[in-house]
Amino acid sequence: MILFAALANTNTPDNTRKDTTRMVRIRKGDKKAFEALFFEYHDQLSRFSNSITKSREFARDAVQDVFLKIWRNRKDLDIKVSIRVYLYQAVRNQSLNLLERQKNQIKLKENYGIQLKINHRNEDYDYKLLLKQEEKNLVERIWEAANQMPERRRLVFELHRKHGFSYSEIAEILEISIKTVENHMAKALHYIRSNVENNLR
Amino acid sequence: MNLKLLVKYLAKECDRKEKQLVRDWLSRSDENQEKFKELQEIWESSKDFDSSVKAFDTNIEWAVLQNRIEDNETLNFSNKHVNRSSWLSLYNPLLPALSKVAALFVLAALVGLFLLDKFYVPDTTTPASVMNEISMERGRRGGMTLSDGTKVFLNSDSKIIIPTVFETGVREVFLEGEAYFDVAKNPNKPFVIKTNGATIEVLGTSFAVKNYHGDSIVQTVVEEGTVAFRTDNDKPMKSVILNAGNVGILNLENNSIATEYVTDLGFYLDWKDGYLKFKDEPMKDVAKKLERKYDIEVVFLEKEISSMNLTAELRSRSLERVLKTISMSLRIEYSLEKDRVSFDLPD
Repeated sequence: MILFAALANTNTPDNTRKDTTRMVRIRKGDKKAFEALFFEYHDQLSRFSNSITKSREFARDAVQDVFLKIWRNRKDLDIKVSIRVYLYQAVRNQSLNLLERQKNQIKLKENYGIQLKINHRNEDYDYKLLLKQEEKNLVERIWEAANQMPERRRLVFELHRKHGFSYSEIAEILEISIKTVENHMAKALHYIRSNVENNLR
Repeated sequence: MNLKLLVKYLAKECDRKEKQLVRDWLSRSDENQEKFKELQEIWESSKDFDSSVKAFDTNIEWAVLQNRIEDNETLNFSNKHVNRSSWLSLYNPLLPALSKVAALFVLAALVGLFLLDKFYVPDTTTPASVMNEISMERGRRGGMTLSDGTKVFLNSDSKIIIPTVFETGVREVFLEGEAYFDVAKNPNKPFVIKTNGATIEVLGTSFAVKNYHGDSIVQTVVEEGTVAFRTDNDKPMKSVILNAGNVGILNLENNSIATEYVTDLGFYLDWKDGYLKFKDEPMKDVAKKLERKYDIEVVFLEKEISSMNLTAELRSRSLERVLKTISMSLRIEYSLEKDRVSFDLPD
């Protein structure tokens, strides 16, 4: 099992310092520092993008694009939030861009009379659906319910529980208010609780 | 009590006043506590779940990113070796420039390399001007996509010579070291790999070839499809057909080919994912692989260590961790100074 537990709370003073020295090194063109950044965040960012795009291919592309941009524009890099929040913001934006681009391409092709089906199936989630109800444990049932929630709510919940972000960080990443995060979290818990209960009893 | 506040409490986002509110509510009744416990269980269980999503391959993605970065920077070929540490796409528009620069030293390299090692007499029908030599330094691995779509993954301390475009009826490349090939299918144009003393011919399949400079064997492991593996020297020609799961080993000294069926190809192919996997492998061979992968020097302070057999799966990128695992499983000790590792027996 891949653990995200260790990623909780990024706002410690230690991390801020680590972030700053790292950014200074990257701005100077230090490839080693850039490599360390990539290896530290690649998997979690890919998972986050995968969760938005429902496509491993898009996830790989989105994360690639973000890091490529960081390296190309390293000299002008000015990050106001923590690096981790910044990376998540950037990956979210790029994931949405890729989805938008795909939609436009499909529209274009349809205009030319080419029929295309968007494959929005996520193999990762499909696999879980194949399991029989009684084989699923509480964790799996929770996430099955979570995956049925509205997109934004699911992302809020995921960013908190899988990626360990605080309310304010989630607000930054998704460009919503903290109040909205609070609401989503409460509604998510409410929805999951009623779903899990129904399944249990 | 509203749910928003309870969740906020679980998320440790409450200020002091809110915390007090929740605590007061909790102490009011057992029912409240029951309700809270239920919520807490869901809350705790929802943490750190992600086993249903396969991990992303950070090593490969890093290599791909290197290529994209290098495509955007000035290519720098100042010495004989094309020290491109990573993914190189031969589709890239910079290639005409690369070929020209490369041609000058590749020609020199071709003559130098092949005449010194006497393993291939350049075929005059292949224009040398479109040949590229790509080498991977020690401590590096990397891959490239050739113009026909074939993927090549080069192990450390290995080099491959390839034409920019496959013009003639065969797709021919030259290898020294170890490489994994995923050959694009093209029944009309066989893919041919030449090494010191052997030729490997395929139509479309994936497999790995190993023949380091100075090696007395050429090893070919087939992952998928069929491969023709034959000797290519001044001795009588020998040849075998290798199928998926087969390993062919050509002994250059007595000009014989042995084949074997292996159940776990991981031992032969996992290097491309950055893993080292050993099964009863003598430490002297393990040392060679470590030296290539990490660009270090390995010494045995006690001779008997070199013949100890190691069985291990080393999945870490960190040299220290790998050394620790080896030492623990063989009950030996190691010390690492700069780029030199010494193994010793415990006192």
